Amino acid sequence: MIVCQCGPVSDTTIRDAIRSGAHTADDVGDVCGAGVQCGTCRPLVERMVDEAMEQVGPAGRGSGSTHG
Amino acid sequence: MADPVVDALNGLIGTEMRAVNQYFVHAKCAESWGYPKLAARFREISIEEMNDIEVYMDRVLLLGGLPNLQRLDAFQIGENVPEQLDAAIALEEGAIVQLKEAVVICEDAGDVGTAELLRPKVAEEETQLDWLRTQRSLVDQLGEALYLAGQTGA
Repeated sequence: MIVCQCGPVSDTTIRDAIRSGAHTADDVGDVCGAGVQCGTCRPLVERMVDEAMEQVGPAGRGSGSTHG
Repeated sequence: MADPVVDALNGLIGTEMRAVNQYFVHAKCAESWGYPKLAARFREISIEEMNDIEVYMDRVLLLGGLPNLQRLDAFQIGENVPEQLDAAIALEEGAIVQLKEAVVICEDAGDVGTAELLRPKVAEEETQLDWLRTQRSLVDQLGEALYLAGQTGA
């Protein structure tokens, strides 16, 4: 599924970025370019990051080893 | 003070605009991928959604408001047909919830006319959602390749 149409960047790429250690929407933007151009998809990217972080929990942050 | 009915209608316009764009992109992708039957249906739905926007815009103007076409939230683009169907199902599910809430807002405001205008739209969107769910179910039952074979021009 394409989340960021400016890139374009898919949900898979964004999840990979999160798994590889991007734990904020800014981090995701730096890693794969999602949400940094027109900004329309930014809320979606933020939600994906939040959901991933909730699944991992505080202990998992910084480990970069979550499951998607 | 914002008029809750106008605000609700403008919210619906925003959702319909997302739907117009999402279905139209999906129609053009499906056409490009070689599935003209599915493309034609997506294109038809996109135009139906555009007609809904016109109805809501006319109603906003009748109520003395200004149609707001600036509220264009993000929408998802499927990278394949099953993803297109999933994105459309998610969009329609949200639209139906929003429509039902809008009907309640109209009723609470005593605006029977707008409530009556919106009520049949709920059933229309539910029919749309049912068609989409049927297509998604067919993909699961037949397998993606066989389903897609039925969407080619042959």
